[in-house]
Amino acid sequence: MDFYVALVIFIGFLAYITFQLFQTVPESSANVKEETIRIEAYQISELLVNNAGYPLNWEAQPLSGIKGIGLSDPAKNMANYLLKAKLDRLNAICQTPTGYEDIKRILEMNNEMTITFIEHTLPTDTTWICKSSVPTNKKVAFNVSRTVSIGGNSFGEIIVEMWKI
Amino acid sequence: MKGQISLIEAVLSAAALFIAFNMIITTAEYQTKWKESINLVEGRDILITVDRLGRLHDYSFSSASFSSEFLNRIDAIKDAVRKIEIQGTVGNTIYVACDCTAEQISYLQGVFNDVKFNTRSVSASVCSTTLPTINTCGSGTAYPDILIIWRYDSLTPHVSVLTNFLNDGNGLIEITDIQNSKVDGQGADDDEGQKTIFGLKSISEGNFPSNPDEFLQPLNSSQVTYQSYKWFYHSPYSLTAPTIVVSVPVDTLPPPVCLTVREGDFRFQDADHKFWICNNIVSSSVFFDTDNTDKADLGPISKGQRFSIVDSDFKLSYIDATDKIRVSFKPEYLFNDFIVKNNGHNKLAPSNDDKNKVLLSMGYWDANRKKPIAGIILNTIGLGKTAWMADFSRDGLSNTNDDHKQLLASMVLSLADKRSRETFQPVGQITSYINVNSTDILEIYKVELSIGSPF
Repeated sequence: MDFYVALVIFIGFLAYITFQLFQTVPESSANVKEETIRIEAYQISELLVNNAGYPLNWEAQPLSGIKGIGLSDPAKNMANYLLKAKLDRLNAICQTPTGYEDIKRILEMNNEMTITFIEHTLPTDTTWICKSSVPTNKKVAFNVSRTVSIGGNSFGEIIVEMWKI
Repeated sequence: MKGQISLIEAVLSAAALFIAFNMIITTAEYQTKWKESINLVEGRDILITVDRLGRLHDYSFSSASFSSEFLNRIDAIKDAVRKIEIQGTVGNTIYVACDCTAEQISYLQGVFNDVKFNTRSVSASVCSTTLPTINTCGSGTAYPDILIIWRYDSLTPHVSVLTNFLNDGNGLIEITDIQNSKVDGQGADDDEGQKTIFGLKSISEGNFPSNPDEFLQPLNSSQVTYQSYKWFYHSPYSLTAPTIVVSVPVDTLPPPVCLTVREGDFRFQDADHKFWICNNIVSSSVFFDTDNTDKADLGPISKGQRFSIVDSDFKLSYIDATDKIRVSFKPEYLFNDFIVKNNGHNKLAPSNDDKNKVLLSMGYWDANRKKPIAGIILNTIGLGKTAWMADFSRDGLSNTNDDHKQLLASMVLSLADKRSRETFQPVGQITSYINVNSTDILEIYKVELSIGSPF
């Protein structure tokens, strides 16, 4: 009798633990993925806003010569102070047929993303978007918006949105 | 019986195991602080960006234009609860309660009618009060920024009220002549309030000398007199030239060519000195009468230029309009004495003999220069500051000069409460940023931007 009672309890707990694991592990795994997306989105935004890229004058280089993309003005070396020429160059690259993939490659990104830039000029804002030409389903999307100064004359927003397919 | 015990053991074991596993394998919700972190990043980005644009100082003191020109245009925080507040410098309005006459209140309002420094204007909301009541003057808080007692009153009954007021971080100025016997510690005539609040004592010395009053230069910025000294010498003083005249009357100077000319008075050291603003399209300049002949013998003085009138040095900080200039007093400025009433009054010293508490003196009682003949004595109580001033208006307010007005404004600006009067919304993350502006006077203050989600 004791044996059977113990066996039932043992099987019951095994079932309980299995059930709990099946419930917890996927959720934790999804949370880790979400967290990774958030961290990467923030890191890309920080890279764009507070890094000058490599070489420092990458905006004057051919695409093959660009090793790193950052929009900060190296002459000023100040946080949130972007160089208009770098923004224009990034936009120009993005508008080419392979531009989005080139940006992803240079930034060493595996996830999908869009980079939206809004310059708050009067009377209307100026906006451009760097995104894939192939539509993708967004899963676990996250976006980070950064407010920046452009050459100390105007201000704008860089919005980095990132997701997994 | 044996079977029952086994069953109880089994149930207990099951319960213990269930609790243990439930603690180990939890399905609790994974919580992040990204929302709050993003708010903090956004707040920092905004303050840095505004600084990069050179607008942080303007926006710090004008939340309406900050919202309309900047914050409302940022998509990321359009729906957020935002608030900005300033700590560590005077706000746009100083709330001044004055235990004084209607004429004195009018005088104070005149002093703060047109105060402008570091590209911003500061006004005063002056209201009447009678101790023990301290009128808030519409400040929206428990106290005004500063209380002025412009008469002699025994403060002994009000020590508790004034101490609470000062402990709250506010300022107190007393403008009066004090009988030596009131603070000599010699008997029933003593005014304990004056001693406690202003830290005064009388000293037994001979007759007052015949000296002008001069500032005792603070040794460092932590000295209690430093801020008042700084405000006096850096805050531009507004002078208006209301009268239109045909030309600048000159003495020995070549007559200047002006489109229009305005004439005004600059009164200091009990003497009127006329000045003329020579307005031209490209640049205007100013001429002064230094020898009381009603004719210009100094000029043209341009914006930013230093000049001297009767051994006193000034700087023409601004030519603000066709009828207005702003002049800064420069060291070492000497006042015609206003300390001496008679030998029975104002022979005062800090109760702890700390001469660093004396802002203005007419020399020293001793050869070792340890005991200044004090005209303004400052003191600290809790978070608040106090100042006793000899009554420069005892011969009537109409006999006071521009230098007295500049001194009074400096005392109010330096002693007023520097904390923000705003209260943050309970939701929101606060980003702090230290800003500095030294266009006219060095102002260091903290800007705090709160960004929060409405839900």
